[in-house]
Amino acid sequence: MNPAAGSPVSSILREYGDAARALLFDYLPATEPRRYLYDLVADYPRRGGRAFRPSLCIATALAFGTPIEAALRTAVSIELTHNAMLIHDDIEDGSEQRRGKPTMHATHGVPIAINVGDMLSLLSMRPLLDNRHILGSDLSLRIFQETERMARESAEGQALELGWRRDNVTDLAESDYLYMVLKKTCWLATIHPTRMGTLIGGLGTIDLDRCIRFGFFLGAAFQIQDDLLNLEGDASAYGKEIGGDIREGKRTLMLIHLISKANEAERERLRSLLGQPREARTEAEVQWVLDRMNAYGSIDYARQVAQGLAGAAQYEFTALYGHLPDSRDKRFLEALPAWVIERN
Amino acid sequence: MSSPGSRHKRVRPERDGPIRNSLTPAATQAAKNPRPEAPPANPLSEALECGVRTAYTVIDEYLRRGYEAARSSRDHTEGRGYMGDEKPNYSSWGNPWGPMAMPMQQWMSAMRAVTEAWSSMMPGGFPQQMWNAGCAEPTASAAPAVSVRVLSHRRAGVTTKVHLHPGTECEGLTVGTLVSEGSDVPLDSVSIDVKHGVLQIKVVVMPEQPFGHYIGPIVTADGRTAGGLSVSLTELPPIKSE
Repeated sequence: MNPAAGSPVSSILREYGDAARALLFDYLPATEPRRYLYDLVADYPRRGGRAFRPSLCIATALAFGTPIEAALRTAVSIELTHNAMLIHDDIEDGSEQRRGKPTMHATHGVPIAINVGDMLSLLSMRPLLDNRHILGSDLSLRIFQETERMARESAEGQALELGWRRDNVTDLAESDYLYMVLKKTCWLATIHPTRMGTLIGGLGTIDLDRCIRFGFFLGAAFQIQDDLLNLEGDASAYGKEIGGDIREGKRTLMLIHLISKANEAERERLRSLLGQPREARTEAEVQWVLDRMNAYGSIDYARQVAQGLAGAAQYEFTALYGHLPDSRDKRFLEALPAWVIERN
Repeated sequence: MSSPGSRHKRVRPERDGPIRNSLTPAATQAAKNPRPEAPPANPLSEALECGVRTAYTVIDEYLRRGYEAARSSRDHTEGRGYMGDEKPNYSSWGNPWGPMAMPMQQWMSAMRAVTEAWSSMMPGGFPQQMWNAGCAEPTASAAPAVSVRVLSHRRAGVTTKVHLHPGTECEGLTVGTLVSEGSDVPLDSVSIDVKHGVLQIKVVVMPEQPFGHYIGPIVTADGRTAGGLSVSLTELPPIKSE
């Protein structure tokens, strides 16, 4: 049983996720070409997902006393961008499954999948344009610029990870990993949604850089937990292939820890294994890496780091939002650090 | 009581590897310490502590670079600054594009005009229902005249900022309690009135009101948030005596 399933976090995720998804589909054109584009554009959003990012944006704005309508379009834009990036990430990572189904490129081929991702990115602009009539031109323009920054940070983080894999970089430290996660994961998953919620809720009067710490610790704990679930999660609940990260050669905290702890022979074998193309890595090799991770305590190590980061996120939450009056949304934000490391 | 010379001292444990530095590349550490059989006394608690320490180092360094880039672009508005390889200064909203500020501002103004024109023509675009129902369509004349009156019982710099969502009707507006993250004492002596079509905001600062940045919602008669009000109370420099 998932201990996080009955938490107030889950109910808010459902509520705000439903609200964001309902509006999101209004932004998906029901015109031709359907077969090669617009039906596919709706595919990933229709598969569900937790709607963590839009919910975080909405809850942050609501914690300031803002009505949901003020944050809804920005939240929709975030979810559209997230889905666009998922399609491109799946191609770049050679992933086979997404949200329990074959990935877009596995079903429709790489060229069509890239184009669908491009269209989702473009469609994410529309809700931001519509913000102008709700939030005014200045705030809307600022959200536009923030969105551009988030996209840049995410692409820079993705570039780091892809480059490490292409060049088979193995001399990575924990700080390298965290820096990559800060850019690749945290900006879109947590920093941008909290900054947007704070920008809308605080009406542009709050220094948004202060959201970066909270978002970073929350997002890094989230990513490590995601990487742990990739190794030992329930395949049906997780929605992706278990052990897929090892097969893809992803530089996770567990892998970096293992490389640092392994003996010279093991390290050499790891280096050689990671240097192979994805399809050349066998099931037995993936299992060997998993066994070594268990033997050297790499999984427990990562779990502890995730717990520490969640604690730091809790601390930063108090510094950032502690002064806000008590509300359901504030309690949601406060509960997130524990939730991200408890979910399975 | 034993003399200092006879005191028992704990023998320093022999190190089986270097002191772990979270910023040392992991492979370097591993090359020097290839013995996983000799873990520290409590490796998991060390992992937690070390992970958090490393994470704080990473985020502090990231923010420091951002601020440095911001400062650099302010100091060197001509050409590239000391940190010329850094990205544009996003942290300073006042001058986010450094030397490109003027062209960017013009471009942004043009972009705003284009987006306004574009969105009005988009199929299924505007006009859309606004969340603050009852508001007029957003027009240039929607912004009401605002006057702010401050009565301060303590020596303080007072800055106010009013934000009303487009098309908000002023009649019946009230302001909620203004709170500050740096203060447990809310700023609750703020009122809004409309006289002769002018939105009049009155801020009373009591002698014990802490300095800080206070924000709160502006609410319509039917309880909807129509905007916000911020009041910054800052300490003034001491008055120089003659």
